[in-house]
Amino acid sequence: MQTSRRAFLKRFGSGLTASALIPSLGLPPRMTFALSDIPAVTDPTIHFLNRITYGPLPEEVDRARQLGIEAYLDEQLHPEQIDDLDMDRRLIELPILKMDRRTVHRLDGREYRAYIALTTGMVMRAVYSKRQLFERVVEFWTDHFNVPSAELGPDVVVMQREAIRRHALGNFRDLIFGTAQSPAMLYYLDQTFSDKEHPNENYARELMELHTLGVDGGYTETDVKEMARALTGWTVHDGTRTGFYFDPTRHDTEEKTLLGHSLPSGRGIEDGLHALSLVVTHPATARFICHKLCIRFVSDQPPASLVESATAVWMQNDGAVLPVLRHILLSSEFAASVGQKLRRPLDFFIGALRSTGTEFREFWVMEALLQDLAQVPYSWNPPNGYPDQASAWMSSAGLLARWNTAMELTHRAHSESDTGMSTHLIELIGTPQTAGELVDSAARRVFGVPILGDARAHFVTYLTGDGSAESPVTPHMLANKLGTLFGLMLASPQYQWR
Amino acid sequence: MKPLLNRRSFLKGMTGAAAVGISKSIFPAWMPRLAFRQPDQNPGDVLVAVFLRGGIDGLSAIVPFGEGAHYYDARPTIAVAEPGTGVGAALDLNGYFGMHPSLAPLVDIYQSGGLAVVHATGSTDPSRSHFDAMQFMEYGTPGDKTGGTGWIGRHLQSTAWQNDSPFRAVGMGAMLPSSLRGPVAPLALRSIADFHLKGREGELRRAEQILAQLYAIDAPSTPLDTQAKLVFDTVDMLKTLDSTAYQPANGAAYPTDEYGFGLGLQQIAQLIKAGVGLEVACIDLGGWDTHENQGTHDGYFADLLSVLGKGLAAFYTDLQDHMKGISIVTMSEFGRRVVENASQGTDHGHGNFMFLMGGGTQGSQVYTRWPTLAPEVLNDGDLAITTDYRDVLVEIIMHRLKNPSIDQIFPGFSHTPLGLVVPR
Repeated sequence: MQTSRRAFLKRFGSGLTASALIPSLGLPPRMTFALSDIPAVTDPTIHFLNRITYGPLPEEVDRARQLGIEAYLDEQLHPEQIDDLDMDRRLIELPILKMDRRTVHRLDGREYRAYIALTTGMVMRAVYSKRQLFERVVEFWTDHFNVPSAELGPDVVVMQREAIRRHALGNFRDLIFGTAQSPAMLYYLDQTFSDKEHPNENYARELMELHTLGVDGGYTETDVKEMARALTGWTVHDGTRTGFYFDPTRHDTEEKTLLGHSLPSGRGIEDGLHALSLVVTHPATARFICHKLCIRFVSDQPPASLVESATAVWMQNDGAVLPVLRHILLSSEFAASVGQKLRRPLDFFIGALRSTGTEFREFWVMEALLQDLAQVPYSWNPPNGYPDQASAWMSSAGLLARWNTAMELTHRAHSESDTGMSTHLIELIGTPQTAGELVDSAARRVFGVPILGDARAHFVTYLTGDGSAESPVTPHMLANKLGTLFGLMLASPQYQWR
Repeated sequence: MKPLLNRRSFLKGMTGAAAVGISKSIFPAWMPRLAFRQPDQNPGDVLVAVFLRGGIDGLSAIVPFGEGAHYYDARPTIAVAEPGTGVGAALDLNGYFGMHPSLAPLVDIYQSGGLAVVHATGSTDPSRSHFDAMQFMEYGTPGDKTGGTGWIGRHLQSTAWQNDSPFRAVGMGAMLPSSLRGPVAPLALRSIADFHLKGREGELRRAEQILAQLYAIDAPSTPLDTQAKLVFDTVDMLKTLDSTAYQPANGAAYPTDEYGFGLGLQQIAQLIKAGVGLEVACIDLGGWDTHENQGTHDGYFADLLSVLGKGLAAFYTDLQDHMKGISIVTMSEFGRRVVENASQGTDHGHGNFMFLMGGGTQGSQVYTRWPTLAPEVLNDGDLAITTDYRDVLVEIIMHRLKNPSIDQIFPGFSHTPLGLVVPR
């Protein structure tokens, strides 16, 4: 217990950014962004891929065009049927991710190893997995059930695998029951310290406010206290297989009233199970989660019509995630939301790695870049998860960090392990004959399609000085300008939106 | 896997390697020189707003030892002892309240009139949610989160004077606090020393030109363009400041804490001294959500509190010669419950304290309409709020920042004068 103390207490500090904490929901409805010159606006396939992948690579564009959006979505919605052998092979380097709780806790240096494996694993999966939508959904729930890994890493490894990845496309009930009984969550939100004499309200409050009903979900301060009482006795014991343990001696057996329902006296663990069921099945929860899914996958201010229809699908399917997601991604509101999401720093970073084929040889090189961007996976300290809306991320320091990261990843065009990463941009562009073709090849890697208009002209100008798009590709261009061309594309305003 | 020790030497190595191929922005001559309008004479104080995120325990920071049993019985393991009872005792302020010993660096400033404490204050909305309470406080509209702009953002919007400096409003950190939201684009600044554009040697100048065109910085039309222009303007101005050589005045010693609080304050001080048009700076110190093992005169809370005390004292000392034109205010989304919990910590509460520092402060006082900690007057178990935090802010805005547009900054709020500051 003692080892995780600082993790709890630093929840609102931030080793990472020492920065502002901005709520991820309920942000200003009036703040809308006029978008300029979004290159792929007219292409529904690229729009779709921009949302369900971490940046469309040419093979994904081809596959989606070949199958059509709906069939491609259904393929992605059944990740277990997608062959991902290459990914599995890469993950062999991170064996801790597969270990059970007892094994993890026997490892030397487990906190440090867990932190590295979680961070690396998240980035690797997002970059290389063919199950792109699945990884996007996992990221959504990871934010939703945020537990920072700094000192709870070993237990986060287990929660991530057993509660989140296992149920990401399953039923919401399992996500709640799984996280509620995960030592990572029980420690992080102080549930382990709660007992009938002094119920600790931390988990009870965040469960209702952040995980289920939402802050406007109609519960009261009394409900928070009653929920905390119902959950007394839910704690961690290293003697059990999962670490979860119900301690009847610490449980408050008196009657409770929660959300207008009576929880009778004289019960044990059933109290907590009953209480969780009440919030899981509450209509406010359906609405809250659907709204949040729409913010993640559609737009920062999603149309009310879509939130309504998604909520209806949720209720009809008793909180099954898959049909709700399918509904959202095939909706007309989704189709109309082109370019309305600002890439979060992690979206930007992972997309850049995919586009440039960058591989890291040193964890610390990658970590330093993620720290500059202020979004290291599993390192957001408060329980609300990294913000999801543009207003939280749009800042001068954040933009400069993106520009410098783009240049850092690309300026050598060709690099090997002495820099801690490797890049071979020349291998990604085919054999363009003219400056215009070179810009188009690079754009295909970065945006999924060639881009048009002023932006293309600016990139051509960069390559040729005063020359035209028909100027021939020169050895000088390839040797000295190719990296910065990619860097400029990644740094462009067009790339920041998806 | 490389051992941890390698990290520092590795990064050092990387810097060396990177220097071969990457160079820093050299401020190209083609860029229009910055010519921003600043007010001819500073019409009001520079405001420094410190947000203590997570809900600081105001009953441990500013100890109501005069409450006797109501305080000490409620907190058998975490109370701070009465003044004069030896090591770890509170430092007496006025015979009823005392400062936590970690705040010792602030006691002299309090005694000499440069600091006032307001107690039993806060945002009147009853929410005990961090996220709602912060939003209400930073929007300046308790109970209403529909406005979308922050109180400082509306202040900047409603001033009678113009100031186009990119440093007009600065948030220290990668992300900006909600209080700064509004039509005046604030600058997010983490490090003066690192605020440069980097790129491939020989290509950087061209790359900058292209970036400036892509973001249309000559005529920014989107919020992202505006941020880009801010970056260019800021890089251009910061070249004149050598932050590595900064020497605090008067022997001030900023803490070197892991939260970056000391460094952030030092950079604000540097901007103030440089006269770059700074009007408002926001800085956070988090880590206050002490649900367990918060400690008493030592321990986790005490350590964090000493970062606050040392930081503010260093800032005050460093800027002594400028302090008559600076107002510093601290706030936190809520206080903590009077009764400690089973984990030697405290749960979310309500009323709290604020600090007010600077030249205009009517210091040496604990301003409060103290509701007491008697169980029957508590607000749902917590310290009641008898002074709306907006009343404190209005005094600063009207009398020190010289902005009378209170109805725009706090719509529908009617101000009760407190007499906390001397008009500028």
